[in-house]
Amino acid sequence: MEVDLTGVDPLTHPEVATWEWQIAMYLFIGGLVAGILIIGAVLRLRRAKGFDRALRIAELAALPLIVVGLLLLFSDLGNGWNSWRFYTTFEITSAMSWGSWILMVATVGLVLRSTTQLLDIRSSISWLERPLHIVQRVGEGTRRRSDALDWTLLALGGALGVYTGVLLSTIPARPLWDSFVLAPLFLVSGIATGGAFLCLFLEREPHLRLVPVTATLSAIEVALIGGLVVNLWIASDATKEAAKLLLGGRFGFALFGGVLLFGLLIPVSIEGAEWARRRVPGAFSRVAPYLKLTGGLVLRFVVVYAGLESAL
Amino acid sequence: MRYAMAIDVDRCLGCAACLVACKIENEVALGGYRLRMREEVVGVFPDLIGEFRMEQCFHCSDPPCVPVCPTGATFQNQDGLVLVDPSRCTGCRACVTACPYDMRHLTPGGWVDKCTFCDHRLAGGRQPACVETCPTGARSFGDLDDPASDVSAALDGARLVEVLKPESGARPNLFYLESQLIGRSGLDVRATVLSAFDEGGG
Repeated sequence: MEVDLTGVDPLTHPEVATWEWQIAMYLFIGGLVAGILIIGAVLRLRRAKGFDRALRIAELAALPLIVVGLLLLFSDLGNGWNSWRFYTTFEITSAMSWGSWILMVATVGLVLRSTTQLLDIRSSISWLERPLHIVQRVGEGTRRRSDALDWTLLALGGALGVYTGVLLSTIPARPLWDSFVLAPLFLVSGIATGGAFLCLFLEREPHLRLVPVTATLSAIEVALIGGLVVNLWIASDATKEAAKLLLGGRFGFALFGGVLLFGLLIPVSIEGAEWARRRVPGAFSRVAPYLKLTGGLVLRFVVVYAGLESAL
Repeated sequence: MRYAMAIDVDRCLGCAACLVACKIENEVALGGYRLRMREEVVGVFPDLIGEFRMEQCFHCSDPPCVPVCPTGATFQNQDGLVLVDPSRCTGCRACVTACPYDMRHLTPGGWVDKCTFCDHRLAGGRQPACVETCPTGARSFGDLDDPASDVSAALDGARLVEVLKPESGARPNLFYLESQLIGRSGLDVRATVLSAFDEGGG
């Protein structure tokens, strides 16, 4: 009888306390807000018509979303009362330090953009007249520099989207994250989910104008997921083992079913049929953005949890 | 100065006295351990061979846990020790995730804890508690840059020296001395260790 045992005394080595679901959720929300910032800035800079109402809702929603993301991050901290320490230093080698500061600046940018959005609906919220006086002054000042703010938000959105991937890929002890593909994948996925969020509030005509863009983003996302798997497969023995986590078992099921099929292929097919003026049931049309958002969320969970499971 | 430790696996009985000494010396919180014991058994019955291997922070020369820390709470001091400043630690666990050896843990207080090679004792010229306690003298500690140190002498006299997960690139400073390798075939360990010495300048 051949014996090959290796084990750690469970008493002296309880389960390693790594990241929890809050981090996956935080990365999803970070990508979503990054997507809203990028798409909003691009549409305004291109003077695109028909998107004002949906952009107002999406950008006003982005501010509480980013706060929820930060609360999730802080709730995952072992010592949340020390979270102010993030802002007393800048550690150039730490992706998390970069992310803390990017989030801070992006929040300020979003507050400024929100003031201009509130200006447009001040008549419907006149009961807020007194506090809105300050908002109005800031908003009017910001509106005069709207293009400059949009260029800034575009850069911040890009940085935020890239950061959500870089946060993981700078941790080589987890082979599944040891890939340069994660940063562009999370950026593109973030823009795609931001677009899907915007589509929730769009009329049919401007929605259809966005379809070629969102379909292209989805195609790039599929290519990047393929690129991630190939990159892991060829890089080293450890990353090859990590890639196998994505190709089978519960992570493979979630990736192929939740992300690729239901999160990308089906909603893109629905939108493509609408764009080609085929008759599509209304329920299908309405569900497509929700599928994309869910796919983006599942992608973050798959990458985070499979990464934590992979080891050198 | 480059502090390092060597553990003679042939001498280790798995008594865990080092683990207990560490826990008492450093007042490690209930449920947490800075050291852990791994047991390996291989072979075809009845020709089995086994070993106990104590593991702790490897105080790597190129520690992956340091650059990921967003607040500078995890740092490497001038003697090469990798330490944590609890007052700066947010408990974000980036370092826990980045450690290829899973040798960090979260305390009930919310900060991350790990072996310090008993830096408070070193300041007084004493050895780490685990070294001082070991009843079989399996542990050697000292300055790797000093040829006369205990750890240098132990490494010089060893038949086989192993580091764990050399592929991590972290260049750990905890070495295992053995007469034969157990359960880790297919790796040219000796060459890897010599390479680690060269790169570390030790």
